[in-house]
Amino acid sequence: MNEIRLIRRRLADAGDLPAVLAVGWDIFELAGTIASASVGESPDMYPAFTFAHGAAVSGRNAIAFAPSLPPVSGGAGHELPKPAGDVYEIADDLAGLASALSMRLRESAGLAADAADRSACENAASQAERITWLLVQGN
Amino acid sequence: MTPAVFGDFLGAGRQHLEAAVASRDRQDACLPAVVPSLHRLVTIMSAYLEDLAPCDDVEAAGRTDLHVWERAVIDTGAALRIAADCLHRSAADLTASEPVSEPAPYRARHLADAATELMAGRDLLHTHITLGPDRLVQERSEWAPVVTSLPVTRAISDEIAAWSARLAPFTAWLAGLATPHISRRSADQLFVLSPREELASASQWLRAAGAALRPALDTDPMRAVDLQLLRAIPAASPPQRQPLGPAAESTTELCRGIAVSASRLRAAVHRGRDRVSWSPEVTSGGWQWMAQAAAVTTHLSELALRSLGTRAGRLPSLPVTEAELHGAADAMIGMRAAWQRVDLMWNTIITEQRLLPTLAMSEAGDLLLRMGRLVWDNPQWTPARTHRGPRRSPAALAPGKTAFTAVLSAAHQAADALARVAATDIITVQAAARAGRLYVPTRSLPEGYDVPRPFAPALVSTVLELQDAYRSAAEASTQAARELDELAIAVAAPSKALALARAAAAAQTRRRGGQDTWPGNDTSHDLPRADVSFRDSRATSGLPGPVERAVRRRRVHDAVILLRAAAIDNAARDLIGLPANAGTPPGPGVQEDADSAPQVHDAVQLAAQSFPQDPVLAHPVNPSLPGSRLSARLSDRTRLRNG
Repeated sequence: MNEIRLIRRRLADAGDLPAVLAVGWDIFELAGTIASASVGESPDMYPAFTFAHGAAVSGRNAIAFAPSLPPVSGGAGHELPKPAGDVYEIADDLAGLASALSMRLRESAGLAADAADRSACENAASQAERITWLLVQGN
Repeated sequence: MTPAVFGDFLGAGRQHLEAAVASRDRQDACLPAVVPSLHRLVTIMSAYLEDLAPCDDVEAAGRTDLHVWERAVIDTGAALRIAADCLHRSAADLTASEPVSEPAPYRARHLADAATELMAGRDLLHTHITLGPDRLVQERSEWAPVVTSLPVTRAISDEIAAWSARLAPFTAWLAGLATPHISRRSADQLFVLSPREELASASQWLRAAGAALRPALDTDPMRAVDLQLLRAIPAASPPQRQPLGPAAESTTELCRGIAVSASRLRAAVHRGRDRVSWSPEVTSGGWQWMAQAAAVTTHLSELALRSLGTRAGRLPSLPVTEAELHGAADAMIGMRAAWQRVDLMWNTIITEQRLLPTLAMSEAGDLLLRMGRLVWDNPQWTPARTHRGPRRSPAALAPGKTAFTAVLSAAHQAADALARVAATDIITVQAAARAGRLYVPTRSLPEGYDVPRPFAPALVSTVLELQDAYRSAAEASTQAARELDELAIAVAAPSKALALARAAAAAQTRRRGGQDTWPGNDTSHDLPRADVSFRDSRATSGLPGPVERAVRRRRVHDAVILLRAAAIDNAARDLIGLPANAGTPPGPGVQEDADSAPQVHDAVQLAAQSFPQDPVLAHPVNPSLPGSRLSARLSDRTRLRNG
C-alpha cells in the first residue's frame, strides 16, 4: 500500500527521538486502521488482524506517555479508503512496517536520556513486535 | 474430574431414604437409634424450606401478596418444623428409656446418611448464595439467580414434599412399635412421656407437609425440566484449569476443555465485577483485549456452526435442521459485529493503566485457543498468521451424533460465557466511568481542545457511546446464546443446563434478605414500592426497607450504596415516627409508606449526607435469632405497634 511505503520512508528519515515518536504514533494509528479494515477479508486472517489492531492501539497509547512526543493537534484518527489488494500482501507490508518500527524504537530507547521516554519506547516496541508476530508469514 | 452437582447428593440421598423405609422388619426398628436419625433428616428437610421462604408463617398469615408457591413453601415448612419438634421429643423420650445399641442398625445408618447427603446438597446451594451478617442475600456465583428462581423453588419443594410423603407412613409404623407411655421420676416430680403419641403426631405432620404443596401444584404445576435444572446445579467452585499443553487434543478433549474454560470464565467475570471501581488490574487494554477475544471466539463459533449445518443434512435422525444451525451461525455474525464495535470504542479510551492481565483474560484465552483448534486442523493453532491451518472438514469435526452434540455444546458454552462477560462489562464500565477512570489521549481529541497533558478525561458523549456499545454486545450475545439454547435442548447437549438456567433465572422468587421481585411483575423502575412501609426498615425488622429494595431491584451490588439506602430507610422511619413519639399519631388514611415518600424527601437527603455516622445502623435487630425467634419477632411487632 502506498500509505505504508510513505510512512516507512518517514520512519527512515526520522532523525531524533521526537521524530521517531511522532512517526511511531502515526504508524500505530495507520496499522490499527488497516488491520481493522482487513479483518473481514479472509476467515483465517480474522484473528491475526483483530489482535494486531489491539496491539496497534496499545503501542500508540504507550507512545503517548513519552515526554518527548511533540504535540500534534487535530490528529483524530486516520480516514483511509478500504485497503485494496491481497490480504496476505497487506499483512506482509504491515508486518514489515511494524518490524522496522520496533527496531527504531528499541534503538531510541537505548539512546533516550529520560526514563519515561525509555519506558515508552520499550513498551511501544513490544507492541510493534507483537504486530509482526501476528502478521508475518511463517515458514 | 467431573464437578459435583446437586443431583449427585439428591440421588444418593434418595437411595438411602428408600433403603431405610423399604422393609418393615420389626427386628430392625431399634427406635432409640432410628428416631434421632429420622429427626435429623426431617430437620434438614425443614431447613431447605426455611431457605426458600420469603417470610415466616406468622407474617405470612397477614399477607395477601404471596404467590401460591411462596405460601406453599411456608405451609410445608411449618408442617415439617412441627414434625421435627415431635420427633425431637420422641427421640429424647426413647433414648432416655433405652440405651442406643452400637453399632447403629442399618435403618438408622441409612436415615443418617440420607440426612448427610441432603445437608451436603444444601451446602452446595449455599455456595451460590449466602446470607451476610446484615441478613442480606449475597450472590456468590453466576448460578445464584438460578438457585433463587421459581423453577428451582418448585423442584426443591416438590422433592421435600415427596420425601415427607414417603416418611409419613414409615413414621406411623414406628409409632406402632413404640411404647405408649414411659414414666420417669426426677427429684420429686413424676414425668409421663409419650413417644408413641409424638411419633404418631410427627407422621401426621409429615403427611400434611406432603399434601401442603397440592394447591401450588394445581395452580402452577412443576415441570420435568425444573428437576433437571435442580439436579444440574454445580458447586460454586469452578473446575480446575486445563492449560493447553504441547500435545494435540482430540476434538472430544477440545470440546470438554471449552466447557471448562467457559465455566471458569463465567466464574472469573462474576468475581471481578465488584472490584472495578478500585482495582488497578481492570484496565482499558483488558477490556479491549476481551472484546477482541470475544469477536474472534464468536467468529470461530460461527465457522463451527456452519460446518455442523453442512453435517446436519447427512447425519440421520438429528432433531435439528441445517437451516436452524445456519440461523444460529447468523446470530453469531450479529454478536461478532457488536463486539467489534466495542473493540473500536476502546481505540480512544484508556484507563490509568493500559493493560494488566487478569484471570478472566487467561480463561478467555484458553477458550479462544481451543475453539480455534477445533475449527482449524492445526493442533498448534494460535491467532498468529504463521500458526494457521486448513479448515477442519465437517465430517472430521462431527463424524457422528455424539461429536455433533459435543461441538454444538462447545459453541453454546462459548456464547453463554461471552454473554455473561458482556453483561458484567456493562456494570464494570459504568463503575469505571463513575470513578473517573476513563481517559482519552489528548492527541485524539478534536481540534479546539487544548490540554497540556498526554491524556484528558473522556468526554461524556464518548462514555455514553461506549456504554451503548456494551449494551448492544450484551443483547447480541444473549440473543445468540438463546438461539443455541433451543438447539442444545433439542439435541440434549451437555450444555442444556445453561439453557434451563437462563430461562429459570428470569423468574425469581422472594426470599428473606433477597430482591423483592416476582416474574412478570416488572416494577424495577418504580421507586420505591408502595406496598413496603418505611416502618419495615432494616433497623426494626432486619429486612430491606423500600429504598433499599428499590436499589436492589436495580441489581446494584455496591455495598456502600446498599448501606446508604438502608440509612435512608432508617432515617425515614425515624422521621415518620416523630409525630407518634410526640403524641400526635397520623390521622386515618395517612400512610407512612412509599406513597408518601415526598414528605420525607428532605430527611432522605439529610440521611444520605450524614451517612455513615447514622447510629441506627450500629445495632440492627436480627429477627431470626435461633431459639426464641418467634417470640422475639412477636415482641418486636408489639413494640413497634406500641410506639
